Amino acid sequence: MSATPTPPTPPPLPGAPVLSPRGVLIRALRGPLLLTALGILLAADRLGSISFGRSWPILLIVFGACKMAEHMEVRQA
Amino acid sequence: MRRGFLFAPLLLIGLGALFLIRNVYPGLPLLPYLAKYWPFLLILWGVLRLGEIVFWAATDQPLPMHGVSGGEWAFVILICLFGGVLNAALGFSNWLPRGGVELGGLEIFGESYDYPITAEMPSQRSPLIVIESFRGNARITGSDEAMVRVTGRKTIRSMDQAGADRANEATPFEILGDGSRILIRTNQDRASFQQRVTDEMEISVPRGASVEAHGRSGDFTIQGIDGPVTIDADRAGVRLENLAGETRLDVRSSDVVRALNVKGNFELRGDGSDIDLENMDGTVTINGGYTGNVEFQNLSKPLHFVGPQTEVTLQRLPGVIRMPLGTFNASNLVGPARLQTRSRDVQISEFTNSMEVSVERGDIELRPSLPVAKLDAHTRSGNITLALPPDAKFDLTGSTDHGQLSNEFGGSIRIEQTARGGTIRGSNGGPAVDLHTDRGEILIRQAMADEPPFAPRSARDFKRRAFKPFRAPKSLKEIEQ
Repeated sequence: MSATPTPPTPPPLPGAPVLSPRGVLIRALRGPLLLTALGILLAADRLGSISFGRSWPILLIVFGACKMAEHMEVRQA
Repeated sequence: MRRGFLFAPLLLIGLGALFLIRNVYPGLPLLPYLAKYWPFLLILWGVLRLGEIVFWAATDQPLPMHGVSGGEWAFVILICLFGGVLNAALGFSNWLPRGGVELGGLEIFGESYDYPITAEMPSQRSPLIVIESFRGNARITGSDEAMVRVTGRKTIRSMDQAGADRANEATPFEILGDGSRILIRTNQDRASFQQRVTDEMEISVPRGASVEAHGRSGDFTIQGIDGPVTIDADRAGVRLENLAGETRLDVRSSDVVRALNVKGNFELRGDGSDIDLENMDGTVTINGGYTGNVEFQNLSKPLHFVGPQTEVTLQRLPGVIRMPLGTFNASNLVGPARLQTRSRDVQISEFTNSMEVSVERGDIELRPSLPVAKLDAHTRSGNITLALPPDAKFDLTGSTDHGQLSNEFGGSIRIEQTARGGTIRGSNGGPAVDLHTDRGEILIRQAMADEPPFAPRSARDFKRRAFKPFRAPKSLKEIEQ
């Protein structure tokens, strides 16, 4: 169940797009952010404030925002 | 060594702690809490992982490619499935259709089509009315005419109008019989498995009728019937008012069982959430697990309540008993009475005749009326407080294995305190009063004349009952028009 960091990848070819260090951080944070958002939406559903059936698009928004932030951190190797 | 994440070991520790608590305190209702609050596990997991990654980034350690791996997402889905099923199994939610598992998917894709129901048949003054098993709600009301009348609507979920029409023809509403025994049949089981039929019925029957009803899911409301009433149903709420005969309910997963002004004996079996009984003239026997609010008021004959955690027996209840989660509050009850419970704080005031209270874990607070009768209170872990009227007669023996003893009553009560526990004794010629706690304090004090009861009748409750005693099924007026 516990994930382990991936082994070091070979250096990218010259000119290929690579993520900046901030982009790598955003990519690593994407999963935990989605998981936390999922937990909050389910808890809100359980406690009766807003049903998950209505609030699930927030997960798409979080995912899309993370991908967009990653995209902005791409640079040429 | 490869670096791992913190959540897995924390989850193991948490699971171990949960099972340990369950073993040490078997009375704690862990499952209901787990069913309600499991999404917080996902929040904890996500926040922990966020913290770890931010920490690694701040300390220039290599970051993982994905913060949550594929295997972990699979585990998240498993947790969601487990939580949803547990939730529905305990009857807390409608995540699964009507709190149960339904196949077919038409709940999502189909549409509802309504068809009116109307039928009537002359009957004797005291017929037997049998309602065959159906899905939906029924309101049964006693009237002064010798006639059985049914109005209401049938709702069919179907992909189109033609399919609904076919299902309507396949499931004719029938009222059969010979005047002394009348059968009400919805024929819902004749519908195709892809179509879901429910019936909402308002049934008017002679006041002297007996009612035998069977249901799969839905609510029953029965008012103003003099004959016996028998209900056998799954996932049903039951509301009874002004019944003169015996009542027998066998209801699984009920959200509420409420009865008001029932003259005959009342017997309830099954499991569910709330029970609310008031003004019951016959004996009341309840056997089952009820996790919500359990409340009794004004019972004229003996009560025998047997649940998985709590057992109560008493002879009469002019006052009130309330059993919200973790507590037992009662006032004005008549013994001989016996209460046995695993994990509740017990407060009982204004009781007469003998009383026996046994608690595994929880405080006991007792305030008997005069004359004080034989009293026996025991808890394995908890404090005991006994408030006696100033001129009470008693022969008191109290002991604790670990804890303090206090006497605020005065008189001839003596305390023998040892290193860990002690004994408290005093007698002025009354009946035996025995108190014991394995671990806890014992306090004997004087009861004040103006102390409020532990379970007062609330004015708000009275108002609620007087003006809105039952939640009626959905209005049927638009069908009748």
